[in-house]
Amino acid sequence: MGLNRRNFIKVTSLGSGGILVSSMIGLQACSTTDVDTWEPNFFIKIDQTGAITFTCPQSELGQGTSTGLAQILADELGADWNQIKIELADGSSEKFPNTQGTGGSNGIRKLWVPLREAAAATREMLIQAAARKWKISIEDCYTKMGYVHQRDNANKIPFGELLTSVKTEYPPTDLKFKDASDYEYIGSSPSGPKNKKIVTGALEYAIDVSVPDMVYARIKRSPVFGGRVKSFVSTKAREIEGVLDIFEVEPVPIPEEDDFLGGVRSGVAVIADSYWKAIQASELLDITWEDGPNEAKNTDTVIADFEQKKSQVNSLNTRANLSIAKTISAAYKIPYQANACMEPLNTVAHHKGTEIEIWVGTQAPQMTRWRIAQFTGMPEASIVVHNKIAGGGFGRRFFTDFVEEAVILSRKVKKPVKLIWTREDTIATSKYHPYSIEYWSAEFDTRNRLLRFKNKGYFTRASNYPSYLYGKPIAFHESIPHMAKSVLPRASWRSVMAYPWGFAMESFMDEVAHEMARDPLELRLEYLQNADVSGLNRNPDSDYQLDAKRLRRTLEVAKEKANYKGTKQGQTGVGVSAIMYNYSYCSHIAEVSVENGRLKIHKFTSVVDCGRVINPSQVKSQIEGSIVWGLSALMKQVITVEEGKVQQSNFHDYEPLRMIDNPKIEVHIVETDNLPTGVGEPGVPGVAPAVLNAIYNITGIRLREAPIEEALREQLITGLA
Amino acid sequence: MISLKINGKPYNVEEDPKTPLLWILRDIIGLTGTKYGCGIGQCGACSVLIDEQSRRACMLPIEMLDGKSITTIEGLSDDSGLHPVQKAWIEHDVPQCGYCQSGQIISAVALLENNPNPSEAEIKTAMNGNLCRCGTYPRVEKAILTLKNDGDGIK
Repeated sequence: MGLNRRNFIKVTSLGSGGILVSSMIGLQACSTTDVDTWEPNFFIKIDQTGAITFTCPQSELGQGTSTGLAQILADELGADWNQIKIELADGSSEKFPNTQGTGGSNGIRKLWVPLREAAAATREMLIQAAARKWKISIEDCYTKMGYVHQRDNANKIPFGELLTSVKTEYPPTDLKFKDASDYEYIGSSPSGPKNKKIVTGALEYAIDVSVPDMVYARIKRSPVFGGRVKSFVSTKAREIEGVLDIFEVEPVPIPEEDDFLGGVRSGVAVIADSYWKAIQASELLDITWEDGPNEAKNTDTVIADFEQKKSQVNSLNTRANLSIAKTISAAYKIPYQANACMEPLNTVAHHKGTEIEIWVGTQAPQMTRWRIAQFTGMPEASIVVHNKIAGGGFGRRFFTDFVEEAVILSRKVKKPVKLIWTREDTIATSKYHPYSIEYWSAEFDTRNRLLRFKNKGYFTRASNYPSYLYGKPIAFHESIPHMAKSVLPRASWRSVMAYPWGFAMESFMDEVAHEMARDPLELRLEYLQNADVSGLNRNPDSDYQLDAKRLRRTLEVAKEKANYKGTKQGQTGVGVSAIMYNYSYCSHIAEVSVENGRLKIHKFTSVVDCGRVINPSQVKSQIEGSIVWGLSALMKQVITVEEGKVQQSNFHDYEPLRMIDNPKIEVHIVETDNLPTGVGEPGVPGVAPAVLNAIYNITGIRLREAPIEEALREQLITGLA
Repeated sequence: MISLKINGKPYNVEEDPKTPLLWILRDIIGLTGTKYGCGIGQCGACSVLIDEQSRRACMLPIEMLDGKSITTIEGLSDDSGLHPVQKAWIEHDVPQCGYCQSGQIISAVALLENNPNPSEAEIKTAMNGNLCRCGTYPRVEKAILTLKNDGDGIK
């Protein structure tokens, strides 16, 4: 096969997955006509000043993936960190097939190989161009800090001066990745360009985007999911100066099996020349609703429905060869919860007739483009989705409902529209982490030894989640299906299915340990030591394989760092959890006390193993943030439904953890040279069980349902009486 | 017409006097560093400095601010560089998504101007009105501790 530039990545990147094709197309697309820049692939653009633009296909939601990926690129290329600019890629199935969804803590894991391939190939071509110029061998050249250097003297040439000559170079047939000992940025915590913009208020989120002729919109949506506008009177609303238009928004139903896509609630839109006026006018609308099939439903209806579904799933047959002397069981419940990202959901959309331009902070820029194409009947090529850094995502920004709405509005008013959800909209008419119950039981023999676990679980998607590394036999019942036409539509949640799973499993492990009169930490260490988890690996050929010993190691380190001496130390209750999430491993030790009937969470000692660490500061901040997230969800946050309507509306009645209740957090990293994995979510599932176990250890009260604040207070009062 | 002095510059605003300062800043003047988070004074994302106090711009009708001097996040730094609090935020890698951080920084500036040596408890109380969903609280606290008069300073 002849070498030409079209074969750039095809030749050099075999085995790296879907990105190959895209990178190859990338080279074709990035022709040599532009003399000022060189764009060897879709990730990298170099200009004459030597500035390197990294086009990041992953979304940046605060988890730091764009900075981490830029570090990887800078090291493999031999770039100067201060010359790296980061841009988020527009949604593009052509350029980044299958790589543009940000969820499951997958950014670093998915791009670790393809990004280095692209950077290494780029580096080699720059070296070839320089070597040809100097008439020396490529072996005598290397890159560093944005220059190609000669090995045996001080001669060097900046990347920016090679742009013309490099365009006639062919890519090498073999690529060598840089040795880890040569990394300058991987493993350190350089300050990214994002932080300086944030602290000066200069970072532009979608909610800050302004385009010429733009108008503002708020939609007053049906308070009941599935309800419709029957009629509305807008006389008073129209009296607000600056109101431009008021009209009904027709619902777009959510496909039953694909509710993650989007869907639009019935409602009435107000278009105005400022958002404040749009809010004011929308509150003056007099709307008569038809509440539809959910009008009489409340949270109890959902729970009853659940219990009924559960009884339809028959218990597993007990195997005859097991001599079961004792069974214990427990059920763990998690309520509906709203993600409530700090940046309320919003989109700027401009429907131009035959083209649509969209600015949005989304976890799924590619799927958004596809979905908007589907639902408008326009080709994807005519739709541009500019992805903006988002003020939090946590799973909620994977869904396209708020983008669909903005497109509908812009199509109607024929102008660019900035649609913003009020905070009330994001709490009361959103999509939610669904209500869930996890049923666990454990069977013991006559000598009180654990024989096996049983789990009857609820999963937001119909697949089991391989977070179980204890090695003891476990029987999964058929998962309880989510009611697609439920009272509330569902969203993802930070750590997705591992969240209810971890909550239950790590609580139940403690119950088992107490049943066996064993220390819960030591029992976990014992099980993890001997666990064979090879059967849980979905893809035996993958470079990523589960390893119970890595989880064990995090627990061992946590034990040492927290100076663990048992589950009760004086007035302090100590609780433990250990969880694997998408090949990252995390253990927590929580210390709590109960003073004057009030729970105080003093300290978290947390240990994470995410393989090779790209940016230690960010790894630690993600675990810190996961703890705050988990505590918010555990303590107070609950969405309840009465007569089909969500009862909470803003941060006063759906309150996240505040600074005053924040415990001391100490994060330790177990550094290994395993392949790097994500850290946005692995810290989350173990937070609640660590606290719940600690509460049990100091009070004897076993709480199995979130949120706990009120229930604990009641039980403590009862206990005192 | 209402006269506002924002980041040292005078503005004459001809909007409805009941309009909250937040929306004047964001949609009329174009200072978008001040964020909308809740609209009811619960989250602190819209914090601005008025008379050295951290105030919630979403709850302040401009009619109450005639002649007042207002500092937003954009007004903290100048040609001579970043404000020490901004520097500390970068030094300690505080921001994650960053959306609440202009409010956090404004509240930290107000705290330190009024109490240069806050205890941990005083920091927590002063910052309690600023919500963060990413969970940057430990670093917010750490950054402020280093800015105390008797703190470590920014190294």
